[in-house]
Amino acid sequence: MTQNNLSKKRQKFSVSQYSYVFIFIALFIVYYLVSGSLKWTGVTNILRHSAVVGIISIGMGLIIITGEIDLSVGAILGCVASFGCVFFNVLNTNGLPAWLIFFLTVLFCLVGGTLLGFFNGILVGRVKLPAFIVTLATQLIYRSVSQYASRALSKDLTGASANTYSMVRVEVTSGMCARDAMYAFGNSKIPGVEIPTVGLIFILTAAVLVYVSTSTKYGKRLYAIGSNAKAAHMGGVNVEWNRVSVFTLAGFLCGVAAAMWLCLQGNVDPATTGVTNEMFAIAAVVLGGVAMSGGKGQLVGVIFGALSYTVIDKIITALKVDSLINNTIKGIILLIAIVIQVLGPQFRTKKKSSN
Amino acid sequence: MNVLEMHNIHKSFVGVPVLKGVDLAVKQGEVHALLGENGAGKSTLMNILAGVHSADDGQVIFDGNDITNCTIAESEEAGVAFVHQELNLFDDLKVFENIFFNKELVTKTGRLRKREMIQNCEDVFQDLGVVIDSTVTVDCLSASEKQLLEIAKAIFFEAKLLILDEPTTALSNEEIDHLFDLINKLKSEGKSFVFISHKMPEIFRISDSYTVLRNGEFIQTGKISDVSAQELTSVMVGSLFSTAEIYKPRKMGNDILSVQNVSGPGFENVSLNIKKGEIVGITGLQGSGTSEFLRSVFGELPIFEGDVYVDGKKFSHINIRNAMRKRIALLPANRRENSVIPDMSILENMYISEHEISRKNPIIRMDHELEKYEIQKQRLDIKALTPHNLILSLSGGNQQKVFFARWLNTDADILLLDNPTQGIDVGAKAEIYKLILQLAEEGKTILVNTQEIPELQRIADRCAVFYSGKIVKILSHDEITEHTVMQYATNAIEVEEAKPV
Repeated sequence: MTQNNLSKKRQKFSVSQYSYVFIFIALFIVYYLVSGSLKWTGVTNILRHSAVVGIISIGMGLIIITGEIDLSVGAILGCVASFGCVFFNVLNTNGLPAWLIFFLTVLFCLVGGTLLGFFNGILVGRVKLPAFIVTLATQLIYRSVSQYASRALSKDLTGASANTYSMVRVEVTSGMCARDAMYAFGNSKIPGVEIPTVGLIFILTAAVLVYVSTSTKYGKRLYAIGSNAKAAHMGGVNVEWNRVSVFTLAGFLCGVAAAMWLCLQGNVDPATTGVTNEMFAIAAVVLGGVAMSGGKGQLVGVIFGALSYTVIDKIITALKVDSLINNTIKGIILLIAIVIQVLGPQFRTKKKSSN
Repeated sequence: MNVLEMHNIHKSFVGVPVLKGVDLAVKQGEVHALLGENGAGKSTLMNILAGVHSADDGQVIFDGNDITNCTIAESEEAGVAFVHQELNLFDDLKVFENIFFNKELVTKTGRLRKREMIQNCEDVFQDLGVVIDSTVTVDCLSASEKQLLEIAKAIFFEAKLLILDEPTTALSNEEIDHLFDLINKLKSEGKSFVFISHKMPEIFRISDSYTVLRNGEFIQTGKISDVSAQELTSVMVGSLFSTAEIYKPRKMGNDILSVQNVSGPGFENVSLNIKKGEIVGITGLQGSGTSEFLRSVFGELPIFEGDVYVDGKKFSHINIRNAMRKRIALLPANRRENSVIPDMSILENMYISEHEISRKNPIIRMDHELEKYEIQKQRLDIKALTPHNLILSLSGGNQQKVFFARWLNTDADILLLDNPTQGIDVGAKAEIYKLILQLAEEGKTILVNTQEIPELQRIADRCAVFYSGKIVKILSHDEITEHTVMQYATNAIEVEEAKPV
């Protein structure tokens, strides 16, 4: 009898568990149909446009797996990119070689993001404040500081007229100036396969973190904390510092996204860059099948979640309808996904019990 | 005159009989002690009286009226007030709001008549000699004030019989004095009490008569003045209990764990030397500090004072990870809350603790883990189909074995087991005992906290009995009987000694 019970409860492949794949494929088919003639570059462009929000979503996914939330990711992106611009302009006026400026600016973004994430992490993990409130507060702070600085700093530093930041072009005797070098890199493609470099960075970063979440002791600890923090603690897991670490990691990923943003755009508007990114990141995580309560779901789903939202954008553009309807569609897709995830298993058990 | 008569009460839960024809009679103006071990059926009987459960058979006469199978509201209406062990108060509401909860005085338009309610409260408090501000929120009150508030609430709505379920567990001696003064005062006014407690000194101090239940059966009733604490303990425990003789004395090594004058939350001045390979039982009533003691040695709770030595070396900076490095493991009580990681598989639940120790190799080697899983599965006889099933697919006993494996994987030498057989059926319990003995045979040192004395008789080399945070007696294996343990755990010894000869 126990044998019977055991086999009944065995995890089986289920549609609701992998709903993100089907949603992505369905959306992709719609995109293929409405675009008329879809070329390979059209497909690879999905990666390009997913890269920034995608990387942020991966960080959000890790945080949600531990049962927490981070509302400040978009603001970290905006803040780090803004000051990354300023940092770039300072270096640029000192006449350093372009490659060094490029390297140092990227490094600045990574370190900056990590520090802002660490600050969140300390408040949530060590001081044990609720993550929702902490990151709501830091969202306001990070965003406001970058907006304030855009007006308070001189035009030499911001590189643009009031309220925005821009990486300044300078005349160089040979080769490209640093700004052009970064821009060229951000908009380059891998020769032969035509995959955008930023898209590749997104996929590689995501792949590494999917590996971390499924195959390392650290990853399993995050799941354990999200599933039952008390039991994880009693089992010897350092719950406090693992929470700090996951917010720090998410901050680092926001830094990567900020560096990407600079390479892609070359300028930052602190009032709009990264705004509502946290909401799309959360939506991508949920669409990817990760439970908001923590401990459940796979990070690989988050990649599909982020890609799905980009495809929705593409569909709207291809249909040539007003882009303001965009979020309505995204909201409906999110509701459909959550209905499948929540009601799917209930429906199955009902069917089973009626048999 | 009897205010309460319960006749031939029967009650079963899902086919398991919990009460088998129990009688209880309480006179007006007396304190009646209801005695019995955990699981004897005291709570069920009181829940039937209070209308929480309905009886399968039998009759309840209260104050001349048949209130068999009444609802909670009808029981309250009749004059029964149940002061629960975990108090049913709203911490965020004010004192008077708690007293008048769901019985608020209102004007015709539905506005609360606060001033009147506050005045009424203060009148009652004054009557009872209770000093509580009725306008503060309940979370500002101490445990004893909350207890008094519950009683005041019952008096306010003219209860005739108050059920006090272990009312003194959270109280200091001074507060107990105050509570007992109040009980005596109300008794003289004609109120009756059913007093549930495990503490013999209190029972003898406050009660007039007693009824003993054992395994759901009515055993004996009478006047407290006619019995001794010793006799009562015997009656409670009974003489029949089976101990399959699986225990045999083992060779032991040197002292491996030594605790010197350690105090912490809920226990004080505990000293204990434990030899390698020894099984030491730790027992005491609910709230006597046994569980807290184990958790403090493991670093989950703080140690205020005193020293712990492991293998002769002082163990300073006690926290969970340092304890793990010293090869100490704690299998916590309340499996569901403290052990189960519900979204993870059996394998993942098993390896999570070992990974803290081997964190320098960050990548999980699946073949390695499966090998270890097979070893533990064989060793502990875990009945699982595959390691990848969710932990919740296992029965309680098998889950507990997985958590044994979780700690055996860490190569722990000292196993602290906090109530390891909680919520496990009889068959699985026997397996756990066998496992504990087998582990001791292999040289593991084991501390078991349990309230089940037959369990200690089966496995423990020695047993330390706690009474309100202190070790009152260390018994050798042959001295462990339900009777002696209960005597020390309820501090009945003190009563005997205090009695003039």
